[in-house]
Amino acid sequence: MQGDFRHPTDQALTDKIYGSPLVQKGINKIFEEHLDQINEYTYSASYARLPKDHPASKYLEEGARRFGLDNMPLLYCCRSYLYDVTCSGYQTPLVVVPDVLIKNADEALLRGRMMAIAASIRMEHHKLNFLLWLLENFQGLIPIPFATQAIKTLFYEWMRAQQYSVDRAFLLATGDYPLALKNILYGELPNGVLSHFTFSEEGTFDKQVKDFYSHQNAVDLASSVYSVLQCESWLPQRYQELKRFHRSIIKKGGLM
Amino acid sequence: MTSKKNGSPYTPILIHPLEQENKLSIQKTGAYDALAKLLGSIRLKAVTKSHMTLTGYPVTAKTETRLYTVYRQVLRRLQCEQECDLFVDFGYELTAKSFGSAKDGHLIVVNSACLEELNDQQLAALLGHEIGHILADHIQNRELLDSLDLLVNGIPFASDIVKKMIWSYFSRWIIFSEYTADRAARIASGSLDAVVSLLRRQAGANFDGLSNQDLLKQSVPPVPETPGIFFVLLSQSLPAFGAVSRIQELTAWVRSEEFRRQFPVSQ
Repeated sequence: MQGDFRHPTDQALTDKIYGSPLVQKGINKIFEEHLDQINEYTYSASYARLPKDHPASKYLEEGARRFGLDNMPLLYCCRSYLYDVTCSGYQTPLVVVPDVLIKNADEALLRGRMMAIAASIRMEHHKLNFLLWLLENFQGLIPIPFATQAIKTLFYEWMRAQQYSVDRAFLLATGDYPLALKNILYGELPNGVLSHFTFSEEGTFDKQVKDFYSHQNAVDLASSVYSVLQCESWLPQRYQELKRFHRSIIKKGGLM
Repeated sequence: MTSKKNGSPYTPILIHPLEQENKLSIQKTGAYDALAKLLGSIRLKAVTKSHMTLTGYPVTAKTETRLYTVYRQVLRRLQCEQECDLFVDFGYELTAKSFGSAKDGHLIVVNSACLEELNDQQLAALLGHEIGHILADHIQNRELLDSLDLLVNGIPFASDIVKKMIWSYFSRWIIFSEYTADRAARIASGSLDAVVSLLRRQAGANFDGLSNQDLLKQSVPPVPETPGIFFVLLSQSLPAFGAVSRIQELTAWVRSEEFRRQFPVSQ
């Protein structure tokens, strides 16, 4: 199932990250110091677990079935102005859904995001999220600053690439291409602006994507510099990647 | 408000037993007294106040009538004789923070989002919680931690290791001190519902389909014996740290014989 939609860059960078001795040390630390249990304690003491009959829980369960998860991840809600559903933890995956998404998103979008996060856990993204969090908070304990920066850069590149895989999972889970495109911009633009956008092969955002890629060299250079510092995905890149994926599945016979 | 032991007649009954246990072990050391004394001489309140005059604004009956009125009511309910300076600063989180020391007094800074999103009862709970921290002398420990953090930042290569040791030392106390401050919030707001609804809002758990009963039933493992630095870093990154366990602890206290004995007529 994973191979159907996991973005190749996500897979390649994951392999590279796990190949680093520094990351292996981090994993050992998780087990030695029981960090997973402490993580679980802190989340369960701080965030409300959503009841099983809440729509977000039902959609996560649907996603868990769709993407073949053995166990339902623990689902919490938090106060946030960001609309992203996130996952963390190492052996015990945790999903956190922001209250703004629960309150503002329509059912179809919430369903897509909850199902996509199940796919993210299936790809074990939570483990790398957890390791990156540890790295960012404990980098002072690593005596080789260059090694830390190098591995952080890898993580940041991966953060962008894993988003491509999650976008693909959203599309496969919902089977709704315009909704999957809208999902990329949802929470990034004010709803009043987004409501005027159209999403299709030549939608409102496509002009911006074309402008973005018309300066390919500058984009490549900026990407390299940007990766050293931050991990946020660039919207035109996510948009373009999803369109490519959509075209590839159309060639293979379309969405199931 | 000076943080004298009798700042409120309620202070002794507010201290959560688990905090008492852990606080005593922290404060047994001679180094703690010396550092606290040094801290008192730095005039932290004055430093923070001068900073707040640049980034926030002072709350008075004229500048922010609603908040000031609630604040006066909170002081009356907690029977605090003196008031400390109150400021509003821009911030999205529904939180407030206290600064200062026993020597030169305290000030409370409330985030601007609180004024927009909280009702009077929730504001009373928020302010009561902060005053609870002041009455129970928590601010001294917190300022001590922050100052030690600043001091060790200057130690090349070893700063994170030293920080790790310091924060680990205080880690269990951090959650138990919140339990104590929540008790003050209950007295200050006059109702358990006010504190619970505040914590629910802070944790983003205020929407249909999630009841207080769900939160009371939520299983929370016991606080780890040696939670360590990782726990502290996590707690700092979560805006409503411990909200669920705090709701459970406070509800248990309000329903206890001890509470009924202390407050025969609920106030």
